[in-house]
Amino acid sequence: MNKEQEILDALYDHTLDGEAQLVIAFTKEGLALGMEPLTLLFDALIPALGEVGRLFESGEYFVPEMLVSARAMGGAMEILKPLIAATGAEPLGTFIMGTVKGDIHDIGKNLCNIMLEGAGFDVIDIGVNVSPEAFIEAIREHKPQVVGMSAFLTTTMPMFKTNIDAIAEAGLRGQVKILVGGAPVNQDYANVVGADGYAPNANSCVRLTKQLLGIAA
Amino acid sequence: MNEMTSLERSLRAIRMEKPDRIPVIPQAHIWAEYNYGSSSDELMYDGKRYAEIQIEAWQDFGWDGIFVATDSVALAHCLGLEVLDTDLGVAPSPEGVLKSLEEMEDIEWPDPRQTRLNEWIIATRILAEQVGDKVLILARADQGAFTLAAQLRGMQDFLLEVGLGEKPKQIQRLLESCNQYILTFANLLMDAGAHAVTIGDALASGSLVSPKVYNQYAFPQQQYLAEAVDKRNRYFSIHVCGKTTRVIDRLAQTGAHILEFDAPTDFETAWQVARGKTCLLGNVDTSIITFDSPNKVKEECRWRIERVMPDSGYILSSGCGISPNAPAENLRAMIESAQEYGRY
Repeated sequence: MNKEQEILDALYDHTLDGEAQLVIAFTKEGLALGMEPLTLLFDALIPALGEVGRLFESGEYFVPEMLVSARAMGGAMEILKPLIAATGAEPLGTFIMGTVKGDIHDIGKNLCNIMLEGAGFDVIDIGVNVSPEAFIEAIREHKPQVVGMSAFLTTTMPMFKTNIDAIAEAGLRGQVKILVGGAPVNQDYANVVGADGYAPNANSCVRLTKQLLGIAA
Repeated sequence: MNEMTSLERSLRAIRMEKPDRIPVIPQAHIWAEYNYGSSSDELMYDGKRYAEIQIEAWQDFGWDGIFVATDSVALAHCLGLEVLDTDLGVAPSPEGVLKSLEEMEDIEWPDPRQTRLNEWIIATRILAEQVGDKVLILARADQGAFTLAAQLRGMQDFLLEVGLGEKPKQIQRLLESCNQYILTFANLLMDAGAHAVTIGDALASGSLVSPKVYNQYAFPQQQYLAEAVDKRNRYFSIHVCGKTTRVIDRLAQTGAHILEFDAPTDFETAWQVARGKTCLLGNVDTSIITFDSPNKVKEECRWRIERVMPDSGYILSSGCGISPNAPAENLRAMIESAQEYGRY
């Protein structure tokens, strides 16, 4: 196996295991060997995070393991981001993410953000307890292709419909795809509130976003 | 069999003895706050009014138990955590109050009676004095140690610390300190007359952490509380949101007398594990109770009751707290289901 492949394999494995220091070390080593930042990203880090998502979906990984892997990848991204930006590579799209009004749960949303960023999207996190007005303002300002809304409580789920109606009233509904997610949410409910999709976890959030935007998986 | 009081019926179910019918205790305490003219914001500072409202709702609906809790951040709030106001009461600030695990040494642990926790004690006392001979009083000692520690450290940072596995001793120390404080509060609630004390340990849910993490960190603390409450001849209940199918056997092994399990947990698995060991309380989907019809609610109640009978050890309930937006007819449908289908 050549040295470059060894580095890609090591980056993949150590991201999966959440070994932050080793991920940084191999990223630096790869760059020193003259490897392209985008190669390190697309051939090792993103597939590793995809595998983390798959392991979460299959019940082998849980939130702590995902956070540890995401942190390991984050260390590499700090090094790679400015280098990738300098190449003029465009993000796959802009994604606005927020937890609905009345709800402060943010871990699921944050995991989606990490996975989306890892997959190459520009993610704008507008936080928790986000009012319909704030969603609208963010859409006007950032012109995203996709808006993600999270609700963790049965009590706050109805805000999806309130938000989507408000976005429609503001004349912006045609400009954005809207995804919803959160513990009590399901596909039926997403249909009822008029969302474009429902993502049960961070991995499917990335998959669905790509699907809605016609980007090859 | 003659009609029993709600208290007798509930206690029999908890002890695995046959009552006249399956007890029904929807987790409708927050629902009652808003549907009887108040709010969590108001009642977290007014235990007397909380008790009055819960008694009124109980008299109107005839459920078999009354929960005491106005929110799920009471302990952390009293330990210095900033809370955020939402339309439905207070919620924990995601950032936490501890910048590191080491900062736990700086936490001051106030006497619960000197904080707003005293309102829960007052509510419990009034309920126990006025209706405690007729209906089961379940007072929440708020959150379990794992969830409280996470609220204090910041949920995401805490789960990251758990995942990194670099500071297991510090995590244990924080959990033990939290648990002692929970026990102090639980003892005061029992002094006030609670028949059962219950903790919510949402973060120890199988939806968020692995069975290994549950066993390492949450189980020993829950077991400790179960023993302490049992020694006082009261009942200990654990409320775990989300999917707990994979750890339901361990939850039963904590010695908890009641397991409040949520809709994502498979009913059949839970029943097989808990049957004859611990009383199950749950797990009708709160989304159905909030958004669906009374007929659908009845259908959901009926198959659970039919699955369980003729055994005892089951209390019909929602999987989690019921939204104030749920229609009253759906709550009535739960009560009617127990009355119509649950007679032994």
